[in-house]
Amino acid sequence: MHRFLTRKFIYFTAVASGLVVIGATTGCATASEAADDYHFSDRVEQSLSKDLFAPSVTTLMKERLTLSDALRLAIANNPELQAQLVDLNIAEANRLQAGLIENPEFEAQVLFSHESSDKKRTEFALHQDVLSIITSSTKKKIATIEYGKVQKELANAILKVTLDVRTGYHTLQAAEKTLSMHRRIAEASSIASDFAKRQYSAGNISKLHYSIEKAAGEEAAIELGRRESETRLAREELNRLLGLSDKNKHWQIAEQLESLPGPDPEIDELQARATVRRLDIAILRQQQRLVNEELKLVKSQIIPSLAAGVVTESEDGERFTGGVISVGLPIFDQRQGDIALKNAELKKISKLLEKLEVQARYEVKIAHEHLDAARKEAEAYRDRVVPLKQEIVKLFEEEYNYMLSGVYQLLEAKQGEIQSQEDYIMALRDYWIARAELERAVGEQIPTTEPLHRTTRPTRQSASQPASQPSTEHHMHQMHNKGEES
Amino acid sequence: MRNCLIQKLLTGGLFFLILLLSGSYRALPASAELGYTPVTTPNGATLDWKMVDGVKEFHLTVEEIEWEMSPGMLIKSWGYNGRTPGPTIEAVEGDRVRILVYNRLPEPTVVHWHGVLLPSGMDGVQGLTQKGIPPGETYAYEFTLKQHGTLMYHSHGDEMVQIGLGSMGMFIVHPKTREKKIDHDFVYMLNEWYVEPGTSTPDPNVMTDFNIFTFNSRAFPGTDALVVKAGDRVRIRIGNVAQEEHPIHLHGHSFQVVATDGGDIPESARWPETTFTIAPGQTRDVEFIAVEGDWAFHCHRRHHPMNAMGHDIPNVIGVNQDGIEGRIQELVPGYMAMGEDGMHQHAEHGAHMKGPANTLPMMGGVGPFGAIGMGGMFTVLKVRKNYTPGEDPGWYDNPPGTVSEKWTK
Repeated sequence: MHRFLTRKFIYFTAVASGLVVIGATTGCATASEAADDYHFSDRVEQSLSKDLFAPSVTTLMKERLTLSDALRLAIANNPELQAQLVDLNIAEANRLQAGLIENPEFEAQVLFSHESSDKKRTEFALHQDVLSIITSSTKKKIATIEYGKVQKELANAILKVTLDVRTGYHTLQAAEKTLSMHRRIAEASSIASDFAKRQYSAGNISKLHYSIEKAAGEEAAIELGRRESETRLAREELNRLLGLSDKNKHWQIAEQLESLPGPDPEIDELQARATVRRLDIAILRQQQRLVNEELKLVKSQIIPSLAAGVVTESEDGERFTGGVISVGLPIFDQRQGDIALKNAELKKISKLLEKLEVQARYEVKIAHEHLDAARKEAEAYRDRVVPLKQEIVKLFEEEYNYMLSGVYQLLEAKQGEIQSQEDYIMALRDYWIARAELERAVGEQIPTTEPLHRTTRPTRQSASQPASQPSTEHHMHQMHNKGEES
Repeated sequence: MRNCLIQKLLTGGLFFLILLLSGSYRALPASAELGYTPVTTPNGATLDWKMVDGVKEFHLTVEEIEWEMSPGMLIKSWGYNGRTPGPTIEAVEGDRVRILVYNRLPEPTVVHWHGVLLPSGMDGVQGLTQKGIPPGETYAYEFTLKQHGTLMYHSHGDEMVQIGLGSMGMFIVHPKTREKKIDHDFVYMLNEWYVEPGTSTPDPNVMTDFNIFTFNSRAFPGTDALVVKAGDRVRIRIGNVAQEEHPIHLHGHSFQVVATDGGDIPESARWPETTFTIAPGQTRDVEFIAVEGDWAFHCHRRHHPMNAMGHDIPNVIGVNQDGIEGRIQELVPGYMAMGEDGMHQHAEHGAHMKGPANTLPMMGGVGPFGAIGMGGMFTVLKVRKNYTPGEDPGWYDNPPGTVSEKWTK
């Protein structure tokens, strides 16, 4: 026992223990971080969990599908996002691994003499790669940056899905709303065609005029059929985005498009935010940080290898114990190539960042222009065109009452009014899609503000309903009926 | 004293007897004060005058005015002295007249004295016989009346616009003496207008497709009735400065055309009518003895005793609209099917329906038996045994057995 507790043995043990402690400490720190990372993954996984987060299909059958529900469903059901979540898990695992130092090596040799059977030599050595200890924090940092990059890539993918869902959602909303309106336009054409048929039967119009009205009625029916088909396609598209199965397709979308919000932010503010907040820029900056750290790692590895250890050997009963250190000599290879490669990568990233920032500002400008144009169009329809068209119908009714205009003109005017309401809905749809695209261009949600008070405005709760119009008096109709009764 | 009076009476009576026995009745002189029975311009007025150094001086101001065609319809007009037609000028053959015309229009104007025999330079043709009266200035027309008859005055500068906006009036020249006393002498000026429904400015660019037809710039039910006593001799004078000829029909009477814008028609040449036509630029006088009753008096072109209607509306006579009305009401709640059984529905409901602003229903007026369903060039001649002058006598009380009713036998 006493022999083993020699100074050399104690030294060996201390060094070995220290290495173990260092490694263990490093490993523990990594493990705790790994635990934190696991919890993040857990949260992300929860957010992508169908069961915990997305609305139930049963709920969908009973209530109308809101945009919020649609977004949650789409994210939860998207297989690409599920796959990218695995990438996040992989990045987590890599980070965990990167924080661990290499295990020490134990070597034992037993040699027997060829000359004498009594003679033997034993050698025990314990080596530790010191370079891995020195570079472990850098490696871990690299893995952390990589993890952050994967996070941002996932967020970017979610943002794209959000944009697609919002586009699909508003497209379907507008399609269904305008379809119900267009049925009334088609009904007016059908009435005109029917009226012409009756006039023709009475000998009051020629076959030519009847044919003209009949053809118009047929074309209106064709247009309605086309609208119905487009609506079905919009529904299928949203179903695809929501990832719903065929048996779960019988949901109803919220009927009304949201009204225009308050004023939109200014372009300068949005462009400034985009260069800071956009995920593709953030990903590239993350890549830049990654390559910077990789460069540091490369530089720290100019000495290709560095190991230290203890050795003990005995020969003919005599034990020799000592330390050993091995160093790779960077005489020929000083990692010049690798350093140049990383510097080149950094330069490339820098140029790409420049380009992306310009691209971001451009995309924000274009998206803002679309948003502004859509807003102006929606406001023009809401505040001026639709009320004017309603007034036109009222004035045509007055002319009809005095036999100054006929039923065809009245129906045409009514079609014009309904068409203007359709155009308003489409402009409103374009606004909300443009807003989604702008948020994508900026890289974050742009909160809406309350609309400014307007002195004259239609009822607020429904952007899709026309402003209510007082109906023309029914007195004449009542008197007409009275005349029939007497 | 007493003997002197008896002498005068005897002299007068002898004079009258000689006249009577001579076989030619000479009427009593016209109104002792004026020398004539003044005309009545329904819905209009007569122009005042004053004697200035032996000249009858009249003042006319032509300017933009607001004129009511019928209750519920006002138009912008270029009238004289606040009226269209302008106030009727009345004078007597042989009078020297001076008419001062003050132009308050935005463009030059002149006044032509239609049918008047006068010096060329007083004829009132812008650019030909005189310079146009500039805006803001007053020109004088002076001449001696060498004729009697039913004449007119109207703008002769930018006629299309100015007459189209109402610059016109009647000019009656009475004879110094008249053979037969006229109990009622009515004057009418005809015109056609196009007033887009919902507007108030007549469109002088329209040449053929007019929509408002007027007696003295009034459309029924805005035309005053003519009220006379049964047995009265009635003269109606009509002038036309419009674009179309108008066959004017009087119910219940046969009358004689007694004068044109060229002068009196000799008695042997007068012809009987119940409808007389006045072409643009013409005047015609007719006379008749009034017969008791309520008698329609109107242009007989079917479109003319109506107010504005659409000419391009669908022909729905006889078109079954069952089921369609309900479908249209789903889109236009106030819609009511009309016209299948004719246009009388419109006459009945016109007063209750809301029409375009400042627009008259196509057919209107209510009589003792319901909706009359007329407009435009239409009025009523009311002839009564007894009535209070100046008051409307109400509807004619038909004697029993003289009203068309349901046959029950």
